[in-house]
Amino acid sequence: MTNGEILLQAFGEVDEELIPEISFDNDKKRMGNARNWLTITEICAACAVFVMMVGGLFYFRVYNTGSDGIDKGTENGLAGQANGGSSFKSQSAGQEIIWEGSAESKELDQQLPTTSNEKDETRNCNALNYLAYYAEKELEEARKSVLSSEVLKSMGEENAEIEEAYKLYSVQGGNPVTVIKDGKRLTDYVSEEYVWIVILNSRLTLTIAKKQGGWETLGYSKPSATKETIEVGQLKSLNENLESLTKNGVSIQTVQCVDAPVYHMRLVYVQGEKGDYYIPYGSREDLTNLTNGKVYTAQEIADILE
Amino acid sequence: MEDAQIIELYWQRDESAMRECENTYGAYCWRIAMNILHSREDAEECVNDAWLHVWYAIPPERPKKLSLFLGKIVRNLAIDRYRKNSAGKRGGGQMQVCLDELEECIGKESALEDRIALRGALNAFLREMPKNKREIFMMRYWYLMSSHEIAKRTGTSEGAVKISLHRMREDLRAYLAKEGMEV
Repeated sequence: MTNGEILLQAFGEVDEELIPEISFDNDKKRMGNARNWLTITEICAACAVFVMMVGGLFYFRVYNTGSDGIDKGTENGLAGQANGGSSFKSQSAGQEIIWEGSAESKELDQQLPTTSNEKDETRNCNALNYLAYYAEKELEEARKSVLSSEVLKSMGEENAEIEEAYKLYSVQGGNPVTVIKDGKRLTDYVSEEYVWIVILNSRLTLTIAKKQGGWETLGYSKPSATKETIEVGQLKSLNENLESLTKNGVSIQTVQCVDAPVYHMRLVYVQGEKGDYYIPYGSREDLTNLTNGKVYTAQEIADILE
Repeated sequence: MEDAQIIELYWQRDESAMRECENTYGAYCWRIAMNILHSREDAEECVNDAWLHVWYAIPPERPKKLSLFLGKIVRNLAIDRYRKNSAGKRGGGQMQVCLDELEECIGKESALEDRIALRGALNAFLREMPKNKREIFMMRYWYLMSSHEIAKRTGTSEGAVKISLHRMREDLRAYLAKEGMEV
């Protein structure tokens, strides 16, 4: 035990009358099991979220139904994605990335297809863009949370800036490879819950999640341990891969990043209309024989990891 | 429920004592554990362990102030857990920062041996301090609050809190040196 610890322990043993009595009532909200009732604020917030969701669905339907009456969102397999879509955002200087969600909503509306006959490559990208707009709002909340977090302050990283952020999903059972090997579609096994992985310019990586209305930092890793995260440079290749898939006629429906801790990697899961694709990013290519940033079909993943 | 009633429930070996205790002091204990561990899961486990410790401690104990009695238990459990988590690998929190600050007061070259004397010296030092300063000092090193939170609670600026804490640590260092505890 160090002297600092001994002194800290001695503080714990001082006479009680020297210890100020302090109330932490505000923390009741932050405790999972402290109460089982809802506050008026929470009820109002829930109502607001409900109204926004209904409004969003209405908006989605209106802007995705052309004059021929066909629901283009459904036709493209996009219906229902609004809640589960994933977004990736790169802020590499001067580099335009096709699905960056920073555009204003009006611009996005203009980008979205207006007729059901527009089966071009931009359609999918723009659809993803549309979904990313909602994620962008959430990312902004998360960004504020991260930059004001105690973790950064305690590590002297108050001036750090966010370089990259993406949503990370888990898979039922914890291992997406098992699902792929069983010949099942990963989309049925991806959790609804997700965390944001936020990479700072100092290479510190934070894992944050929205819990009980507030953002919480679940953990962090320092540069030496970030190998298995999707790095800034890798995102460029990811975008290129997705663009290439789109050009080859793959209609991308969902893109999600799922965790595969057993294989020390994260898999970018691309759900296409006719089949699924996977792009691995891991720290142990030697172990998996999968090349980071390369597009694999489900069968290829199953064969290589056999 | 009042402290005395909760303690009485413990003495009667009534298990509702734990529930009442949690309702009244759950957030208080959780915040202390959270300040040290900076992990929701760890803090919750720590607080749950604390309820069990209290169950076995009362009786025979009959604490005067239940909050402080619980706070001490949670604090010790959280510090133990922090050590097991290998020096803060699993989270940030205020613990490591506080430890570094305290090492300034006492050095780290060789281990302090007379812990009873240290506790006595610390008690005496704290008694000599003005109440408002002592509260700030204890918020930092008993509750392990951040300077930011202390500033919010005391209505001062974070900078003022930091300066104040720095001076108090200097005073503590001088006091411990005078008592022959400089190592």
